[in-house]
Amino acid sequence: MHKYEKIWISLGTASLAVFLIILGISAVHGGHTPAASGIETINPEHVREDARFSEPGLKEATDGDHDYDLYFLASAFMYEPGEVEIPAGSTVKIHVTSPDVVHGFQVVGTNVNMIAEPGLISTYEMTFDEPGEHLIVCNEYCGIGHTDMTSTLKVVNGGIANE
Amino acid sequence: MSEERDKIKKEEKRNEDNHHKLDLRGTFMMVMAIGGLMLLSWFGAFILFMERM
Repeated sequence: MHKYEKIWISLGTASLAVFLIILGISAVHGGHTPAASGIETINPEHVREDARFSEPGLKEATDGDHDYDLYFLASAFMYEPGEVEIPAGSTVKIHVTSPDVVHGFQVVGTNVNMIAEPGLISTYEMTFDEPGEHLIVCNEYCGIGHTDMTSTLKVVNGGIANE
Repeated sequence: MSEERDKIKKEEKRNEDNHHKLDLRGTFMMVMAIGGLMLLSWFGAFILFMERM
């Protein structure tokens, strides 16, 4: 084997090993919730009877170290709530589920990017420091109205976090 | 006759497998350049992710 071949083959193999290790670590840490992580389940046919999802929206947190719980229901082809305001600087735990098919939940310009699956409650904790407006889009093809499936998340001054 | 042909074939095969005499500098540079590009784009995405945390 040529000397150069040895160099690039070993570099390629080493980078493969490094990236597989990174993938393995990031799959179970850093806010990811793979199926085996103890993700909360819910009966998709009775989602709207659940107190949290009967009137989805921003609620003051009662436990944990976050300020608010934000409940989102992603259904064909809309989000509930259609618009939500969050006080700047607050830490919000977002909970998303679907009563019908698989949807996406991406808050544009942030790291919030989840799959809303019927039967599972996906969560992500995020601190919103900068006031502004974020579009929420469905990034899992869910049907004919997929492209119109949006919501808006507004980070505004005021509220508990700023009192 | 066929033995001689086999011998020639074997010799040709050996020359094909022998890479030591090949000039692989250009290939090496391109492999490293593509590797560098991949690493750079990976870190680009990673920095974006970290900044949005």
